[in-house]
Amino acid sequence: MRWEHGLLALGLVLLAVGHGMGLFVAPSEAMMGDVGRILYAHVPTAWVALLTLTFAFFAAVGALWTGKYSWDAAVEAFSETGVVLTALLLFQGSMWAKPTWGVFWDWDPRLTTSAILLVLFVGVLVVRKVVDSPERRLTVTAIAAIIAFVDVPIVYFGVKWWKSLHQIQSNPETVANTMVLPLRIAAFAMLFIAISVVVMRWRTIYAGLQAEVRAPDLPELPPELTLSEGQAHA
Amino acid sequence: MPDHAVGSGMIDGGWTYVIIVYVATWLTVIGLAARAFMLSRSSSGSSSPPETP
Repeated sequence: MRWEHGLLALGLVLLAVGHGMGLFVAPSEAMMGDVGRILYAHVPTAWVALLTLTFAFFAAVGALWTGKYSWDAAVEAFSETGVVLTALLLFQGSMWAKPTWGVFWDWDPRLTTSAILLVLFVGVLVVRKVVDSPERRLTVTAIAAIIAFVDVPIVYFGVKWWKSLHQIQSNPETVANTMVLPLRIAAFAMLFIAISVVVMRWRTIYAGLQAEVRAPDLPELPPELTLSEGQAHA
Repeated sequence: MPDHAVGSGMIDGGWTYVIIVYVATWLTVIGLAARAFMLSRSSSGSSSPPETP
């Protein structure tokens, strides 16, 4: 068992504790009532999704700077995990929006920039699939990830820059202690889970890249040496 | 939301949305971790030298 498997187990246990406290111990929110308990799932997902995509940016800079495939693998691992968490974030948000705002979706700055962020990083992963040359893929996807990252601070600060349905960031001074503890536990849980997933994915992707780079390109066979369909089945 | 419900913690069907969000969160987290684990296992298995006959 590797260390990331232990971290994953710890993350899952902490997530169960944080969510359990958020659902059954923390008080209901003054304005929203029990719907406010979505906080303990939604906010940790948002923090860790943005953090993961920020690290995709640092990995992309590292890939461009060094040209090493270990950084390239990190770009994919962080982007992939970040995309899943951002998709989850948007789903959680729309489920919270319906009972509180009356709609599942609104073209509000926070929601719109978050959706754009998802599309941009899906684009990074698509680019990785369509570029064959590992060297070219490293460069193209690193540039794509750096461009996509520009949206991360816009998502975070957008609620302060523009009028938004979405509330601005809270802090421990504005949230009751009984709500801060489950929120922190769930946030660390999501962080540990994301780290372990990224590390597992990084190991797999990096091993694949190393094999791809080491394997020589096989020349195409001349037509006279290619088996016909009938010969191939014989 | 009707005026009398503001601040009273009364939102119709509130728990339904809460349950949907928590189930979706756990399904995603477990799915993400299980996929990463399975792929890392199959990758480490395929990188080992083939068995000789």
